[in-house]
Amino acid sequence: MRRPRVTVIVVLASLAALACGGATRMSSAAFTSNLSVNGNAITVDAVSNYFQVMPGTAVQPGTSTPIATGSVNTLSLAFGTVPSAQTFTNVFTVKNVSAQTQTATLGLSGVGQLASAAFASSGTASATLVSGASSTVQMTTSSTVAGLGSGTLRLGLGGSTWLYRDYGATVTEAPEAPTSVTATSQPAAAIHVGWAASSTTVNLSGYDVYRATGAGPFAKITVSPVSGTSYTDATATDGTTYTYKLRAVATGGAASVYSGTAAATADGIAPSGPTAVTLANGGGQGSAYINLANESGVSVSVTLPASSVASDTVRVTLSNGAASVSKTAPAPAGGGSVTVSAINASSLADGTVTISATSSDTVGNVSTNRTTTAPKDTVAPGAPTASYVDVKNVADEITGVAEANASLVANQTAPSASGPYSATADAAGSFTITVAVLKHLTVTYVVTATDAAGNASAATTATFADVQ
Amino acid sequence: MTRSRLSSAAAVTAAALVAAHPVLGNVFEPHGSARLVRSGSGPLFDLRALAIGGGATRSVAIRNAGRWPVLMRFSASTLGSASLATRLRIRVSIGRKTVYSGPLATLRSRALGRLSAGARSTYVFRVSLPTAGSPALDNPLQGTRVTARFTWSAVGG
Repeated sequence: MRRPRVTVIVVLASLAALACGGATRMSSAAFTSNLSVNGNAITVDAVSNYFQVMPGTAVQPGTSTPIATGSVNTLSLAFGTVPSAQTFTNVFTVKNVSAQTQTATLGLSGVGQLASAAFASSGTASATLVSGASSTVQMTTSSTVAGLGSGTLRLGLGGSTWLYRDYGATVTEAPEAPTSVTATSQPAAAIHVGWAASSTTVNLSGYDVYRATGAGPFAKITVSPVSGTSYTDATATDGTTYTYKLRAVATGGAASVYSGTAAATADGIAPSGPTAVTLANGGGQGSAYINLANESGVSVSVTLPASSVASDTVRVTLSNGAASVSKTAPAPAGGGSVTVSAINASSLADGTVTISATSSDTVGNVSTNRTTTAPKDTVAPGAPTASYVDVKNVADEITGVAEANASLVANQTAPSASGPYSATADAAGSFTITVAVLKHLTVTYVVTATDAAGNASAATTATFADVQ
Repeated sequence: MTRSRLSSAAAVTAAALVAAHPVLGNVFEPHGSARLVRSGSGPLFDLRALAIGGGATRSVAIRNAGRWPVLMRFSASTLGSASLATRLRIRVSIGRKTVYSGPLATLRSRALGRLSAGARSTYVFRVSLPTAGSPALDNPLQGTRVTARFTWSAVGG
């Protein structure tokens, strides 16, 4: 009897409860009741519970744009184009906003153009800050890595491996300028420019060379960056002084600050050439030979015109086929002759040796050369044969065979010394030497042959019995 | 008809009062067949800086304040960071019996069994945040927040 009334009441009550935001529901078959515990909030720890981060006063080079923007969760670092490695102080500030002492850490990754990040308070990448304390962060760009770099700077909580924030950092780092620039005059009015390499080793494209004529403005003379550490300016004009400086260039085009300067005057005029060159200590016939006796110490006389100056250098070169030897000597001021001696020609094969002489100035401009030739013969003739021709009542003779056209010399050594007695071999090598008139004696002669180059044979010693 | 409408209106008013009562809160028993009450008040958890590897334990007692036994169910729902809800581990137990143990995100309705009239069960909640295996995987969770609602349902009659 009561059940229907109860059901109606409960239905209505439930409807009312739902209308009022309650949680109880009811079906016609069962009663239900819900109990909810709301608002169970769980929040994970964060760096912001410990540190506040505020952008500092450091600005991008040449601008008033701050390097750092954002806050502890959003900080971003943009260094712009940095012309040379430098330290930026007060890039941003880290403040301990917790109630306890905390340690903040910094770490760079992925951006070699940034060399370091450190807290000013500690000078290192780690700083312990008491509650409420703060420290600025200073960052230094690289002197070895150039170009566009993009990476992260991590601010971490000391003692935690996972509580950190990574801040994007971008920088376009120009290479470091080269140093020790030199300019040196070269032959034909060229000027050699040299320098010590930039300290930048990564992303270095090369070097741009700039030149000023006299006191004029500098202008780039290289079309594209030069690799290596030298450049030859072949566009200089004789007698003109030029000043040079350089910039290192990074991949992507960022250029360093200018290097120091160096100047040189172009010189394209060579000294006048020698007027004569002769073999000064030749051997053999006509003193024209290089032989066994003089080949290790050949002397050459060079005559220079009156325009010769003491700073010029005379060079004498002896060559025979592929081989050559050279020696230099200072040129005589005001011209005249100079002998370049002790030239070792032993390495040159026998044959015709070409002797050439030039004069060069301090820049390296070389005069025309003057040449002559000299035969080289270092092969001694073979020992001659010797036979005695006993001629009655007149001078006796020694006959034999030697190198063709050789000069023969016979010296009597027993029973007494006499001579020398000489002769010349014919084209077939046969010779006859007329020696002393002797009778009834045993006589000894020493016979040698000397060729045209002055090389002497081994001696032939022969003893004969003179009977008439 | 008139009498019936009056009765219904009175019942609606009474039910509305009960449902909106500031003390009774969300305890509603229109005629005494199902009524749940809890120990304490407010949320069980209010963790504001949970660390990787950290956790917290809370408990609450649920009593069947009705006059009949009921069948109990438990469920949870979350708002906020889904990744945190996935990473958070929750273990709900009654004494030595584990009702649920696993990610908060996958905690759905669980049958709890019968609760006699006047009986109570104490539920222990253990929330923990284990490491994902590396700082790089743990780091993105920092500062994330999730809010959970725990609901007990009693069915009687």
